[in-house]
Amino acid sequence: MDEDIAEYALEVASTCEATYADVRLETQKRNDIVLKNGILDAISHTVNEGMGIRIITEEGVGFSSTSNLDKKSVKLTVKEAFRQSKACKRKTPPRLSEEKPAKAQWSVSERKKLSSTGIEQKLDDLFLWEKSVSSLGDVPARIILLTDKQTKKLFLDSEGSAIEGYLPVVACFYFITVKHNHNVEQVGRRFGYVGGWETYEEFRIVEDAEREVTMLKNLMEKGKKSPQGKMDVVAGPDVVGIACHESCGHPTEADRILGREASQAGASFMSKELLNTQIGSEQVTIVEDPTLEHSFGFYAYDDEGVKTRRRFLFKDGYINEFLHNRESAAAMGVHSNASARSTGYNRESIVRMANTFLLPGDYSVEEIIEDVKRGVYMKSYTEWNIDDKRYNQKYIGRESYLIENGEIKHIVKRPVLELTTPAFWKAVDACGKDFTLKAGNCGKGDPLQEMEVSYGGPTARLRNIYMR
Amino acid sequence: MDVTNQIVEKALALGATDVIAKGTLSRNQQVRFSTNKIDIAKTWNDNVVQVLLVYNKRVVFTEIRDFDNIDTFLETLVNLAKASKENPEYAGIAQGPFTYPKIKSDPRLKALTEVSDFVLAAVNKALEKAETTAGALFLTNEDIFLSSSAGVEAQDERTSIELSIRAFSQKEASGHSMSCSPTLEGFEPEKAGEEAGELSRLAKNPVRGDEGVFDIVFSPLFFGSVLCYSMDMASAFNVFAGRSMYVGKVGEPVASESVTITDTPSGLKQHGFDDEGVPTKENIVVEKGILKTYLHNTSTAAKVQTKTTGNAGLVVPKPLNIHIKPGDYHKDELFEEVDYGLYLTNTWYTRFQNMHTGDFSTIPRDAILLIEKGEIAGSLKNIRVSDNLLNVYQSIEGVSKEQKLVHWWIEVEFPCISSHILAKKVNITRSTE
Repeated sequence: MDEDIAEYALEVASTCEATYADVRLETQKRNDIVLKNGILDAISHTVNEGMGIRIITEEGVGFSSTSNLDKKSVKLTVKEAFRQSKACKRKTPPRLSEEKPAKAQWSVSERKKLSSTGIEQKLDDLFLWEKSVSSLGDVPARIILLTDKQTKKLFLDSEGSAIEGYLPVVACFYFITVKHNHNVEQVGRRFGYVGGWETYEEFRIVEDAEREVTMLKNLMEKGKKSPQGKMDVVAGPDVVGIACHESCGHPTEADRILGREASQAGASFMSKELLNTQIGSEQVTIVEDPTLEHSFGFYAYDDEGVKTRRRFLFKDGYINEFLHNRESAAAMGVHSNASARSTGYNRESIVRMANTFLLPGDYSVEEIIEDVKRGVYMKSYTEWNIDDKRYNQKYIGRESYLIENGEIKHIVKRPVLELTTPAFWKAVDACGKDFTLKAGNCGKGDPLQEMEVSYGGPTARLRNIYMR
Repeated sequence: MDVTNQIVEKALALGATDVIAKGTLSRNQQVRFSTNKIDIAKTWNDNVVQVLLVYNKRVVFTEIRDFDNIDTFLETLVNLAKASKENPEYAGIAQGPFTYPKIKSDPRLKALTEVSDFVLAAVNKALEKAETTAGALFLTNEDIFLSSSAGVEAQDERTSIELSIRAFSQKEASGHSMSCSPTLEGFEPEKAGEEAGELSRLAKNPVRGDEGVFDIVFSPLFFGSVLCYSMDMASAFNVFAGRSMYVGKVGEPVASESVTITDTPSGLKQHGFDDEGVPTKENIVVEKGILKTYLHNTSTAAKVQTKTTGNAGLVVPKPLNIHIKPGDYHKDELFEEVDYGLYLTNTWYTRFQNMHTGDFSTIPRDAILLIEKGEIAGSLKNIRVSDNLLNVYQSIEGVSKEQKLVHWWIEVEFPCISSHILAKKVNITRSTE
């Protein structure tokens, strides 16, 4: 990467009447493969290099980006960002939290480097998946997408930060339709990892798809009506994870709380006044942790140059901490906790999650189930959603079983959990020792930024809640 | 045009059998605002050529931004194609040349550089009835150049301006509106602010809504979201991938007779041609409730022995501008048909249990208003539409004559000319505790 051109941009910015400026220079090499119904639809290979410049003045915040990295274009882009900051016409000047400038280099190791993994290897692996899935009987529609990205980043700001990072990412998503007699069920599964091609084997997508197809056929053949009424629910890590993401991670994003995303991804039922108030049982501690090595949401420094750390969003059932970038932190009088992320040089960095999960407890899954007189074990979900204040959520089980007197009885069809955020987290009375993180794609920002994240946790038991 | 032509020629010289090069020179601006102030103003000056290259039915794609190294990119791409595998369903690209309609861009939008005053005007209007606002203004200014190895040389200019505003009169009482236009003349930011403010006023003091089956009037914004999800499912790519409730349903009823949906080249985004260079045209996708066609490019059309509908993206077919045909009702007449029901003005987070069957739910946001004997009778909150999308379409009894152009974030992803819609017996759920 051309560090000189980034320094030049900062130098030009220093000639503007700016209170702050930052420069993000990025190069991203990306490969995508789409295999649909056994046919290779297309392969994409792109290299995207460019620079995003943010300038803050007393009148506002301006952002501009360019993919032309010659001095003339960069100078024009800096001037444009400055002009845009003035166009904001703010009466109250924007502020960032005070953070210690950092100088650092970080990277993620790859046992099998993505740069030396050929297309032949990737195609062989995807066609192996296709051969396996299509041999499982009536699976009329199958699509699998494989993405690998290598992103080099350089962050410089007017306060003296200079951080270089390297992030290799592998992601895979499949979606299949399974028929049995006259019934149709579908499943979409996502996998993600930060590292080299060694991860692909760890995804075990062939085994995963085989298991899902077998389960869905069993569901269509033997699935019984799910019980309704008040009962216990055992939620698998997939269900716990999506609840952590939707009803803990999102409402604790401080930019939502402040209203900055209100017109798009929405606001939050939370407020600064709700800090240190109870939201769940004492079993519930949900953390947000970008520092987990090779996790899908890993990064060492955020896109404002702040070093990452584990954040405790809910602690022992209490709302403990919000996710902040420097803008929201200044507004709430705290420090940033390194939540500023962007999907590329041409997007502003906003408050995002990384890896969000419920901390495990002491129970085995068997012990959790043994103590359920009548309930549902919801291992995974199909449809889910939550309102834009992050209070009313719904999860419909994909793989779910009836539990009676501590024993799993039979598979049940689409149990529905539709309840509020406090009702969900206050019902948790036991957390398992098991732990799984699942890759996700989180949408936020305008223009939309689809961010790599993960979420998960242990199996958890929710007592006496209403199922339909 | 010189660059895209050059890319096509170079790729052919390297052994490519089909090539499309689509250049986009964009000068876009955005202003985002919240709590009645502008948070950030952005500009993007981007110059990119997207290249679809085919070598003996092996299909590869790239984007070129570094124009000093075009040869290197193309050599890499050709080598990638050679190492790839044949796509037996690839049926070529559209054979040109074609003739195109006159370019419809707005010179006033092309010349516009200062847009923050539009935002402030919309905010101030909304604040006549609301306490706080948030939203975004987006100005699009793009020049498109398309060349292909099948004799296509096409040029277009696309301009549009859109402002989306959400106004809050209380923390849980909001209204959302927008003004979208391909020309500056049709852009009415103050009107959008006024409507958002008025909806936020109507939404004051909401109480928890009931579960059950209700007659519902959907606003153009809400139904625009429904149209986007369903028309995306009409893309042949999604049909073949199983991500559609329209699989195997061409020629069958998928909606009530009140419903005719077209995809059109004009609307917010004026498209003279698709990404193969095929002149765009109006396609009737649903006519009086019957599914007439999927949206196709050349290859997906060949798979089902039909012709392209002119909806090619560089890889997959997509809607351009969605239009529901206006009905016989005035908006007020739709309300008069409702004895006890709901007026839903916006929605978000639509998800499917099963895209094949259309089982889904979506969460109304902003003003959720109770209708009693045809009149607005109160404000509700915390409900969810939990139904089947094909059932919702079948239950439509009225479409308003009055229409609105809507486009908003990812929930109304494609521009829609939408109506107020009356649907009977739609299932509503809510949190159980």
